Amino acid sequence: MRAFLLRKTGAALIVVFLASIVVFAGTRALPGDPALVLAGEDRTPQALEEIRAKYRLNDPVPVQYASWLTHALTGDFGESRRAGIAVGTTILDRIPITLELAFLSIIVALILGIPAGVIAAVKRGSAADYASGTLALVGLSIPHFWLGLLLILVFAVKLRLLPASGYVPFFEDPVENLRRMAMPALVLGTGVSAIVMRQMRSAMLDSLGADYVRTARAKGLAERQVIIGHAMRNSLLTVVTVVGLQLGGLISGAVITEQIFVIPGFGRLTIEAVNQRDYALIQGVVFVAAAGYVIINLLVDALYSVLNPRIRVSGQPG
Amino acid sequence: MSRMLKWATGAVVAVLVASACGGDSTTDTGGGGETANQGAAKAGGSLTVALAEDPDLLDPTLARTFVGRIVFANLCEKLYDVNEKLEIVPQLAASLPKITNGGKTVTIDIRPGLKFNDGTTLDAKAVKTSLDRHRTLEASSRASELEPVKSVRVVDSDTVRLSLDGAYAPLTAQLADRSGMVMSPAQLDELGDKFSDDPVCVGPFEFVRRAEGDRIELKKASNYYDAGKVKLDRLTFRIIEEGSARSANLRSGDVNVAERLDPTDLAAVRADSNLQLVDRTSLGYQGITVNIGNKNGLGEDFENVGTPLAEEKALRQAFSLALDREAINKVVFQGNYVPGCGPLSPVSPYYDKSLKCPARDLAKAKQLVQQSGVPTPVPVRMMVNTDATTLRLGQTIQAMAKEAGFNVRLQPTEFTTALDRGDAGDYDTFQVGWSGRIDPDGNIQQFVGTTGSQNIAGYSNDALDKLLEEGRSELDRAKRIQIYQQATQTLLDESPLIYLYHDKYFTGAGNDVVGLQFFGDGLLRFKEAGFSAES
Repeated sequence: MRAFLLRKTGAALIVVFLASIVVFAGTRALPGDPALVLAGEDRTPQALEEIRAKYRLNDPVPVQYASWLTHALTGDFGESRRAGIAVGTTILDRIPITLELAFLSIIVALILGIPAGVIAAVKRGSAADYASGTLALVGLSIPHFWLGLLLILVFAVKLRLLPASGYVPFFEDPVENLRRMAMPALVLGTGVSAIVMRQMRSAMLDSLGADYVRTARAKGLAERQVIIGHAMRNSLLTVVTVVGLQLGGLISGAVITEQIFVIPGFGRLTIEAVNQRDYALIQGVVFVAAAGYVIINLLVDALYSVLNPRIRVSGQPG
Repeated sequence: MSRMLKWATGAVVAVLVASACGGDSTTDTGGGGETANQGAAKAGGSLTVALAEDPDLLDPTLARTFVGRIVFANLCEKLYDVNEKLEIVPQLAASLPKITNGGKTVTIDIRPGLKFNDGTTLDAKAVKTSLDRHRTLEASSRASELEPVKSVRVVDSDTVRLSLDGAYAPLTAQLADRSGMVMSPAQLDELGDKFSDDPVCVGPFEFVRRAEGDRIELKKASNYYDAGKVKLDRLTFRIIEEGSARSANLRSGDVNVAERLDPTDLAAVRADSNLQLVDRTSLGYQGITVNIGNKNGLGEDFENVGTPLAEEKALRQAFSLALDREAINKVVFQGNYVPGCGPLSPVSPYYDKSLKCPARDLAKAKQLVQQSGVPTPVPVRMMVNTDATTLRLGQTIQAMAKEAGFNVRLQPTEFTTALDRGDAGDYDTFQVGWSGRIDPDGNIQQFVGTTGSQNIAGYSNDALDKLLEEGRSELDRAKRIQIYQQATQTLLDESPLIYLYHDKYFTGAGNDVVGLQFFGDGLLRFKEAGFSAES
C-alpha cells in the first residue's frame, strides 16, 4: 500500500514539474510583448527598456525559468506586474470563491437533474420524458454568457430581485453571499444538470429493468418505495462519479460566468492575467490549476485503492 | 432631451459654484463643463462607480493607464487641473506658473496651509520631493514628461522654482496631470516604491483598500482643505470589464455611475427613465497609421518599406479622399462619434475651427490612383483590432476604398500583438488611435515627429519637425494655435496618418446622482458629487 502511494506521488511530482515547464514555455510563446502592455500609452523605447530590465525579460528563457522555479518552490510566485500584489496571495484569495461557485453549481445541477432524470425514466416515452430531454439539450446548448445576461436582465434589471454582480464573502454576510451567487450558480449548474439528467435517466432505466427491482416489486413493495428506495439509490452512484468528473469543466466554465457576473474568482483572474501578459500571474494561475488536477487525481487513485484492493496490485512488477 | 437639459442646467450651477469659490472669473458653459443632475446634494452616502479596466499601480510616478487617472482625479490633486473648457487652472498651486527668463525659469506658488491626507503639511519641500521623484526614480513614467526640467529649487515654504534648458510650452499641461501630483513625503519615506499599497496625497478622498481586479475603496478625507464641498462618505470603484455587464449593473442599480459605456449599450441606457447619460468628445483621435519608413523597427534608421502607400503620397491622399467620414460615423458608430481629419479634437482649446475636412471625392481619388501609374487594384494590408465594432469599421473602409481602386485586406490582430507588430514595423497600415492630451504637442510630436517615441509610421519631414519644435518653445497661445494649424495642414497633405474620427466618452449615472464633474479629458471628478437631496 505504501509503495503504491509512493509510486503514485512520485509520478505526480514529475507531472507537476513537466507541467511547470510547459506552462513557462507556453507563457513565453504568447504573442505580444508584456512590456508593451505594461507601458500603457507611454511607450517610449526608454520606458520599454526599463520595464524589460526590471522584470528581467531580456534574460534567456531557461534562466528566467530557473529563477522562477527556485522562488516557486518556496511558495513565492512573484508579484503581479500591474498592481504589484503578490501572486500567491491573489490566487489564495480567489480559489475559495470559485470553489464555492462550483459547489453551488453542483447543488443546482443535482436539484434540477435528478428529479428530471427519474421522472423521464419512470415515464419513459411520455411527454414528460421528451420535455425533460428537450430541456436537457437546451441546457447543454445555451452559451453561459447569453444565459447570464438574460438572467441579469430579468432578475436584476427588470424585477430587481437579485444584485446583478459582485461578491460578498460568505462569512461576512451569508444571505448576501447566496443572493449574489444564485444567478451564476444557476448559469453554471444548468449545463451540468443536463448531463446529470441524462445519466440519471439511463442509470434508472438500467436499474428498473434489473432483477433486484423485479424482486422488490414481487415482494409487493409500493411503487414509490421501489423507485426511490431501490432503483434511484443505486443509480445515484453513477451520477456521483459523473459529477466528480464535471468539476474540471465547472472551473473552466467559471471563466465566462465570473466575467459576466463580475465575481473576483480564479477564472476571471486567468483572463486578466492573459490579457495583461502578466507572466508571473499567468504562470502562477496555470501552475496552481495544473497542480490542483494532479492532486485531485492522486487523491482519487488513493481512494480507489482503499476501496478496491485489486488496483493496488495490478501494474506491480512480476 | 429633457434629461440632457437637466445635465446642462446642472453644469451652470456647478460652474457658478466653482467660480464663486475658486476665484475663476469664467461663467461661460459653452465648453461643456458638466455635472450630473441639478439640485443640491445631501451630505453622506456611498457611491459606486464601474470602471472599464483595472487601474495599474496607484503611484503617480509609476502609473501609466488612463483608467488609473480616473481614480487619481479623486485621490491625488495636482499643481494644476483643467476646467470644463479644458483650460489649465491652479489646483494645489496658488496661481498659474510665472514663466520668466525666456521660458527657462518657471516659478510655482503653492497654496498655503495645505495638509496631506495623513495630516502632514504640504509645502514647497514636499513639492520638490515629488517632482524630483517623478524626474529621477528608476522606471518613472514621468521622466520623459519632465525631461526639460533640469532642477527644482525650494525658494521659500510656499514657492518652488524650476530651471529649464529652454522654453517648453507643454510643461504646465504636464503639471496638470500625473507629473503635477504631490505625494506625502512621510508616506514615501515609509513605503518607498510600495507607495501604491497605501497612497497618500492631497485629495477629496483618501485610500482605504484595494482588491486587485475587483475594487478600490476610498473614503472622505478628513484633512482636505476643501472638505466642506465633499458630500460622499465613501467612493468605491468596481472593475467591470465586460461592456454589457457594466451597463446591466448600472440599470439594475448595483452601481451608481458607469464609465465608458459601449456604443451598443447606449440605446438601453437612454431608454431607461431612472438613468442619465452624458457624453464628452475625447481629446484624442482614431485613424489609420501608414507604415512609410519603419522597416527596421522603432528606434532604428528609417527606410521606405516599399508598399504603394509608403512610396506614393498621392496614393495616401487618394485613400483618404475615398473615405466618407460622415458615413463611417453613421454606419459603424450609429452617429455617436465626431468625424475628423486632424490630430486635434474639436474640444481642444488649440483646435483650428476653420479646419474643413475634405469631403469624399471619388473622382479625384480615382484620378490620383491613375496618375500614380500603380496598377489597380492597389493592395493595402490593414491591421485592425479583433472586436466587432473595429471589424465593422475595417469592412466599411474596405468597401469605400475599393471603389477608388484599392484592395484592402484586413488583418484582425489581438491588441497587444498588434502593438508589437506596429513597433517592429511588421505591418502596412494599422487602425489605431490615441486618448489625447491637453497640450497639442502630446497629440502630434510623438507620432509623426522624426524623433517621436511612438513614430511607428517611420515618418520624417523636416518642415513639420521645425514647426513642432517652434510649437514647443512658443509660449504665446495665439501663435501656438497658428503653428498647430499649419502642422495639421501639413499632415492632411502628407497623410502619414489618415485621421478618421474623435470618439466620445459615455458616462451613465442614476438620476439621483448630482454634482459629478465630467470634462472632455474623460475623467470623473466626484469631489462635489453626491445623492440628490430630493430623493
